Amino acid sequence: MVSPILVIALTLFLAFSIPLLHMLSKKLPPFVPPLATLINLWILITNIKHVGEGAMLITTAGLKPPIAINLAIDKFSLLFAILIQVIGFLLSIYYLSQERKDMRFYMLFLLNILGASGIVMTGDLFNSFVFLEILEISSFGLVASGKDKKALEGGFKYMMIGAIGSSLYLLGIIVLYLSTGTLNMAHIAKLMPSIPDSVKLFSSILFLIGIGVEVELFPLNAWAPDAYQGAMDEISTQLSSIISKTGIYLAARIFLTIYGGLYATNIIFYLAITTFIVAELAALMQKNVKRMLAYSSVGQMGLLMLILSVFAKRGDVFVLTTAILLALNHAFGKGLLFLSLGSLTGNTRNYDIEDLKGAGRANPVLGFLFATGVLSIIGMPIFFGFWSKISLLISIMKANLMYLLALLLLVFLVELYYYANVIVNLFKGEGKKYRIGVIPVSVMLLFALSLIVFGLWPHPVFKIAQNAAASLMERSMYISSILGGM
Amino acid sequence: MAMFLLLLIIGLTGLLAFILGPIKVLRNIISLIGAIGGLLYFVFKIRPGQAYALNIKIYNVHFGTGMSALSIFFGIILLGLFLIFLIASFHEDNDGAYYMFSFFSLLGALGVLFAKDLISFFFFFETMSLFSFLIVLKGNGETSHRSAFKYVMWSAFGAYAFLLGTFLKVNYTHSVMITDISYLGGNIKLWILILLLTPFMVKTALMPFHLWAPGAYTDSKDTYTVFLSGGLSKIGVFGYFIALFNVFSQIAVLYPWLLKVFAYIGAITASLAGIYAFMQDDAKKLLAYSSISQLGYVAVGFGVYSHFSVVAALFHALGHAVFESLLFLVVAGVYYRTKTHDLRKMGGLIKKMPLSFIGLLFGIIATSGIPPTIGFPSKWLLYEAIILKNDLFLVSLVFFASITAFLYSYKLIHSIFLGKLHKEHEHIKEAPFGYGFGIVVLLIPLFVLGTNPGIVVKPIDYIVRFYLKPDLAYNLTNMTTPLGHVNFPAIGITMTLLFTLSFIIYLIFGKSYRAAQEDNYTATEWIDKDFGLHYGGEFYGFMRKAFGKPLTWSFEKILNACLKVVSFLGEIARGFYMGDARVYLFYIILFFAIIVYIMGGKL
Amino acid sequence: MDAGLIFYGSAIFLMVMGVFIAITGRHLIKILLGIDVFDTGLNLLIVSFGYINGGTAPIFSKYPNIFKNVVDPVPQALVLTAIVIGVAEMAMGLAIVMQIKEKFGTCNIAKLKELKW
Repeated sequence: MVSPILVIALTLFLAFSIPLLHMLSKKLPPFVPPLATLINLWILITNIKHVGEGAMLITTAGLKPPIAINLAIDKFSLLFAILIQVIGFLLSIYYLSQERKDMRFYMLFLLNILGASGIVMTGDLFNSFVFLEILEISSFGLVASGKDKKALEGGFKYMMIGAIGSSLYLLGIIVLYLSTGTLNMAHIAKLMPSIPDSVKLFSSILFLIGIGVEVELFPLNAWAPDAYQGAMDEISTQLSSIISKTGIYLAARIFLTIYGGLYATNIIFYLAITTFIVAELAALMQKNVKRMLAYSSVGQMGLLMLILSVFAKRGDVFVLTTAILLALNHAFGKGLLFLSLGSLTGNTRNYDIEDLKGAGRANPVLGFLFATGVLSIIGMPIFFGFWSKISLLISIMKANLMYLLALLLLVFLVELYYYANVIVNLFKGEGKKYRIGVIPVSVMLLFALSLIVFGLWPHPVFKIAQNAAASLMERSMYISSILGGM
Repeated sequence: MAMFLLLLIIGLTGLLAFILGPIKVLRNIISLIGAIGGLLYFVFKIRPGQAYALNIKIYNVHFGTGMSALSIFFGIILLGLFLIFLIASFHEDNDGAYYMFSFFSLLGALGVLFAKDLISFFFFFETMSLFSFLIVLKGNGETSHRSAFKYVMWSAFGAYAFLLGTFLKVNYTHSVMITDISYLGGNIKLWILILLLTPFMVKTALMPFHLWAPGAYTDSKDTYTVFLSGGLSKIGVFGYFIALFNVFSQIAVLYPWLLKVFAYIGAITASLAGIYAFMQDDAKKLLAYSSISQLGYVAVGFGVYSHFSVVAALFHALGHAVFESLLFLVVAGVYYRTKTHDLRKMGGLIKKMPLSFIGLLFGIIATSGIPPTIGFPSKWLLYEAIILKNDLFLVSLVFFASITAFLYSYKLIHSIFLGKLHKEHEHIKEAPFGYGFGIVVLLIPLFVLGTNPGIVVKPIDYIVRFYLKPDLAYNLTNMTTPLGHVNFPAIGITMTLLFTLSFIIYLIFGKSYRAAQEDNYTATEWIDKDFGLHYGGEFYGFMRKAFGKPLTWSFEKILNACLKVVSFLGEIARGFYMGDARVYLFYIILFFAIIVYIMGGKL
Repeated sequence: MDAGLIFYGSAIFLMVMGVFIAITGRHLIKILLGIDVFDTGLNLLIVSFGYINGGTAPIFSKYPNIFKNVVDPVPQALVLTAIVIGVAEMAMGLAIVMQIKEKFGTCNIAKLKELKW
């Protein structure tokens, strides 16, 4: 067994060794991220069988919790950690094909992976704030790293909102600390019943805003379309597949594990519905395909938060499984969409729907990839999205929210409308043919194949998601495995 | 298990056809083997009552597939038509993906027939819609993209309505299986029924939901239209049966008005689509409306809801599969030679393409419901059923629809095969083997079932008898209803004799002469050698004057108004994201303030 | 006047002022400074949470602890981290602003209007 703490240590080490390697040879830096993510992946995989029920505890300073900072890894965290590493690995392979002179980019990328992995593995609330800041600061840099006007504007907007959001997150942590005297998540969760209601409510509102910025809830998500649109395509992939998924993890951990699903979830429920509807409606009018995908991303995040709050209302392990299925589908589907959209425009960063005319017909492979992403996102059968969508509807039905179900189906029709419009446009008339390398295509093919293969054979994913969901649901198990029999 | 094996055969063939795409011969052979193998496997291995359940543990349900006699009936139609489509399609310039999509759409349609629970029903229904959408998208028409878009949107509308109905049902009965809901309390069952019916009304293009059909039928590739119109629309008919009998067996007792509405919608569809049909100048569009019109009859049959009206409806569905496919196939063959669908640019092809002419002739005879063809028994039964219901207005509507069928049929055959030959068509030949084969094969059931309807009525009766009190006596060639008795071969022979007699009289006494190309029979039009004038141009122009005005009012306008409202909402939603960073920050502060204000009492 | 009240009051004042600057400011650097002021206010707030008037340093040794009023050390540790993070954030922000000045030729936030469609 290799200690998962190495994931953090090694990534940090490799990230800051990049400048040194750069001095040695200018060709070395691009190879560091794939190496780092691969090693991380290996470490995490060797740990799979050690994570049983409840969480695996890794202490740092030799002290038992709740004193020192510690990592707490249950199956839910492990799933997200592996997801992050897999997407990170695929993306870093994708970067190999690109000419990028600036080695600082790779540092930011690795720090981003580090922040995300840290958030999903830590068992300490303040530590999660630190990793959140690492994640956010590196994301601002990554978004702005396109270095054209749009990228910079998107980066700046993201930075302003993100900074305020994470500050409020910190305030929430401190409020909790004041009334419990501890920063350990499991310990706070255990002490939760003894905290006065007003403190719980106030801190949950602060968390709601802090995390709401990350998971793109309605009034807090105004940065999202701009950042997605401004960033380079691979960064948009990273935003939707890694960064926002980390936000989902954090939301689940804080609102479900710590608060036990009791506070702020009602607000989240309505906010998430509003997010979904507003984002899909906004996407409907979009002529810029990338911004459209961004809105769609926001909408999907709304769905995810919705399903989490539905779980908090009417708990059922199936609902949480659905949330994980949705997250996986969105991570792979939207990632594929952003990547293939970039190639379909020939990396010209001109995403106007009129200019994409015929691009899919001229480049059938890219057209296939983009179509796969779209079909999976809108939940067509034989793609993985079908199962996540059906599970979503089933869990909403199980929660007996039939009006919500009808509303969602109506909005799905809107979603289909703009996606079908893009697909149809891609295959209309004659477009320009672009040359694309082997590496990007094979990376995208991996994304697409995973969507199709697990669409036809969803059992293993179900199984994994179910286990992860069960471990997230067993709140008392999480607490007792961290704190011992305390 | 056998059913899964069949689906596997179909799916793998599609995949192989895609992989072998560039090697044309091999691809064609493989897909042919797959289609024939699938048909044979279906005929010999699949029996009613077979079932197989797939257990997906996470849902705690068994996804079941099982066979009923009805599924066999529709399955054979589907697989047979698919084979005909496939053989004809080898003449077209198609790529591997096209074959993959078409095989997958067949797979979806078969899966729908097999499904015993609503979720897998939906799964296969969506598969079918998705891949037929992709095929329409691959069509070569100018407007095929617009049509494909409409097609997928309408399909999705139906599918989502179905899904809502499914979940309502599951919520109330706690079962995803296709089970009877008419014993539930409350009015929710009515909504479930209507929602479950919607996708099938879309698939069979009943009137408010028909907007996708003309475009999709016109713009899909010619040979695929054969399968799309003849085959896939049958899924809609199958769905009617499932919804009206399996899901809601007590509809005649509980909601007779709904059946009445359904019948009227069918009749209105039949007549309106008929009117639309004879105003078209595009052969495929004409046939598309004709197809919609004929499926309207099927809906009438279900709406009347007596034993032999449903028998008639199912028989008519089969008949529609035969003659509509035949017509589309002929038009496809004509297009293969002339490269046009425009009726105004064709004419006089009778001598060049005699087999196609014969196919079209008997196709339109069947469409109009004249013996001894397959169109006759079903219409005869249907009329009697409606008359027994004493609903005179409905009878007159359906009769009116039949008149429009005569009109557009005549327009079709005249414009394509009669009249004057165009100069550029002087050297064309009969349509190639693939089309001819299909025409000949389809002509066989057209006559055999027209004169011996008992062959098919027997299994249909076996299905329907289970749900409705039988009031139809029949054997192979005869049928007896409460209104009387009919012998189909006798009627057929009489009809043929009369026709021959009048033809002989015409030959002997008719004052006709052969008109040369430049012979002017159009009064004032000036005609020279290079310009052959053909009457196709303003065919039924006077009708357009008569009906044109009311027809400008259309469902499309209502739809567009709805779209305007939605896009206005979208514009508002988009406005939220148009500020600069300070505005976004202000949102956060505002949100914080509002939340604290609302929650203030509890803090 | 209670010392705690002064701390809390000034911290909240700083936070409000920071947000006010960020919302009303036009110049990018001014906005960044507003966010920084907000962060500073927050840090002050956190420190004052742990502060006890007349308290002493939280030093534990083998001798019995003679001081009763020990200041909570954790908020201070947290604030130290938060300050460092704030610096990193500010650095990233200023780097982006520099690039913006280069590309847009202006630091007026109202001129950043590329991303609407």
